[in-house]
Amino acid sequence: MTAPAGAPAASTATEKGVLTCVFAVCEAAQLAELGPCTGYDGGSAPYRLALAGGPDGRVLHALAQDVPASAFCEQALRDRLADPADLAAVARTHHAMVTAAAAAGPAVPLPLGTLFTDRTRATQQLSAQAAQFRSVLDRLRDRTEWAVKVYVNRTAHGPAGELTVPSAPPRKSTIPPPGAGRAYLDRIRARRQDQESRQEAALAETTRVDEAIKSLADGAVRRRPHAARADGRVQVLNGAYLVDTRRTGAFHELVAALQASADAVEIEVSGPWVPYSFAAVDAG
Amino acid sequence: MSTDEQAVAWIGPESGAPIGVPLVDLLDRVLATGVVVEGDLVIALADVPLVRLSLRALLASVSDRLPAPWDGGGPL
Repeated sequence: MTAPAGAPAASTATEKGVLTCVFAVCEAAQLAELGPCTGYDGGSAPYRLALAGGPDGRVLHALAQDVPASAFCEQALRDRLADPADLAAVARTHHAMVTAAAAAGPAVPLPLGTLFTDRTRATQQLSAQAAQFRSVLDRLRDRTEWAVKVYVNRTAHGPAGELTVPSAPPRKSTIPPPGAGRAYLDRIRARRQDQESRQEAALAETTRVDEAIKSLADGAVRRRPHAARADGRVQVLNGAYLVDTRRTGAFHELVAALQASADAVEIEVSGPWVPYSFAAVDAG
Repeated sequence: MSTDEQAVAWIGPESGAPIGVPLVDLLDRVLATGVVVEGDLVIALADVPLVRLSLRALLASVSDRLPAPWDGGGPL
């Protein structure tokens, strides 16, 4: 938690019973087309906060909601987010609100759990950063984020479409014939070499994929790859790319071409996302 | 109280959680990004050990409950 010096103690808010949760900042004109979402359960109807106007006259609004302090004070939030189901629900609600804010124009997503003691403080604090928000909005305008994840292909040959066969159980061992130990070691060695060469090929292809998409994108972020999951897939790239909406078609064509030509890797795409990964001041 | 404060009611249709958003990608984005605001109370989520734990449980359960389309393989 970060609490700036001089901020009122959380107990002040708790006494009042509500906190102001802010989801995103966007330009005022675009807020007519908000999508269907009501924010967190137990909270007020979502509303907009008008931020202080800038020198250019552009008015920014923050999409906000009053939420019960009993569920959103620091300790309550920590407790709730320790529960996987609650964490997923909170993340989805946050995302729904951010997406609603971005429905008709650029929006700056704020971190999950950006809470103020009341609307006045929210307005003051956000207004103080209005210039920063404006520059981020300009950078994100008419651009969306695409997630591209690359995995090592588990089959040395053949298209990914053949991977739907359930994994076979380990081969049942029979009585080993003479020389089986040597053959076994040979198999182990061959398998290891095969695995290493596949990993190398996968890394080389991943670099090619990343470079190709970067050449089309206006920004790229390589996130930390996900740990191998129960299914054993090895992720070698967890990328986010900022793509001009006019190049969305070209992006899809490029990805399709990369998928078609990739042998050592599998490529997955999700999006378009609100450019979460490019909202930081120094990103892009 | 700031004179710039203005709350505009937003009347929208019923709430609906986005369906089909990959949870792993969502958590990647929601938990670790955005402009950092001098909020009165901002929890740096990824730094909270409890969140890390539930995140792990959540992602594990995701791959258990939703094997497709990643199904079909033993270890590499």
